[in-house]
Amino acid sequence: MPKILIIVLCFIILWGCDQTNQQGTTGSKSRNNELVDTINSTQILNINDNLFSIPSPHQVSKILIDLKIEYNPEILNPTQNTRKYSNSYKKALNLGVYGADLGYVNLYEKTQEAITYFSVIKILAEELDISNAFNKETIKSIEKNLTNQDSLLHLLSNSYQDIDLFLKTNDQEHTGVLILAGGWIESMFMLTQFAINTNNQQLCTRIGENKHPLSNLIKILSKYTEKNKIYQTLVDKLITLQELYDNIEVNYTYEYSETHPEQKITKIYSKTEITISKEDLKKITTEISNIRNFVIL
Amino acid sequence: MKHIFILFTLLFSNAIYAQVTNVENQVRSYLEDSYISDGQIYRVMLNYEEEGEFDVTLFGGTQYRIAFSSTLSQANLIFTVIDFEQNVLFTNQDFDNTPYWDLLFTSTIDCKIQVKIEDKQNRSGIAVMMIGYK
Repeated sequence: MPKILIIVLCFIILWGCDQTNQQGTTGSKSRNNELVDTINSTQILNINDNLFSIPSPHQVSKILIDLKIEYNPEILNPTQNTRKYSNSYKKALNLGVYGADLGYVNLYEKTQEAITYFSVIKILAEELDISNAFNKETIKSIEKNLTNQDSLLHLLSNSYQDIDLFLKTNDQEHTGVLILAGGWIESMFMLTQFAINTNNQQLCTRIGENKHPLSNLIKILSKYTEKNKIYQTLVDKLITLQELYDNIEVNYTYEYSETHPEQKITKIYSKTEITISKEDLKKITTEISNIRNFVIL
Repeated sequence: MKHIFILFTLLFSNAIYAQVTNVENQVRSYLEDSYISDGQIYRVMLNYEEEGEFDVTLFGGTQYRIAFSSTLSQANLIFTVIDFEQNVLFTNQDFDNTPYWDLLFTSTIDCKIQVKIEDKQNRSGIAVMMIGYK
């Protein structure tokens, strides 16, 4: 028995040494096959050959500040609603919603509101048992930087990245998907409300440009419809929204790109043109509002 | 014996987890402070000659940084950005397989980011991607 233990420990030590020296060595094929097998068996990672991206809610709502759209606190999900969220699914969805709201108040430099929304996010994360995803240093940094708009945006994005990583490595991807969905729905709610009220063409275009992310979101949520009925309900509602999006015309023209190797940058000149009628915009706005009500109420 | 096996599995899994975390930290460092992460970490397990694909919408008027790394430090990681008409917008193969590149979009485009690992020993590995914007 002790001999086996020694062999096992030697193997682990040798493996660890190899890992620290990985810049200079290449492992054997068999060891990598073991790595794949172990990953498969322990479900450390989501193994998939096709992944879908959902734009960050901060990125979606950044257009509001660029267009100098006036701040409107009534657009936010009131923090008092938190007590309504009794199950983990609603909590996860609204963690995404409040993340988008925090991004919005931060963009408009509303410090007091940012503190309130951050507190609610902390509570929901604790209730979802994912507060470990935030390390203490990150929380301290966020609390210190609540008045620093740029730093806070970085910290918040990194925090949501930490949550994403934590959920993926703990076999809770289904929770992460709801957080993503909540963030996207909230940011689309903001875009549509401001588009209807201001009649701003750039906002209408941005709504249309979310046709593909909507399709991605449906694909991601569809993986979990057997987990809980909330996934199926959300998918059904988003499919209804997608049917409205089918009326939006998207025309793409490819153009040559321009690369500047010394700056490691490529400028993409290809173009997408979006045509959305006022009637369709109204229908989409109403449908997104219905979906958002389902999420927050 | 059973306990030793469990101990071994746990320690080995932790070591793999640490290796993947190192790769993720590496990719995170490529985004630097000037890029805001989109909040997601994209990971894909790739076997020999397999290709992973990420479906993304990249918004006009935004500069993105696409950054990659893999658990196979000595292998070439190739990533290519294509539009939905299969036109290649960028490939790092043209630039010594650089692990990151900036893309400035004048208009919003739905793209696919394809990734594959070229390894002389035909090993499998995990590719990690992050997207930052400013």
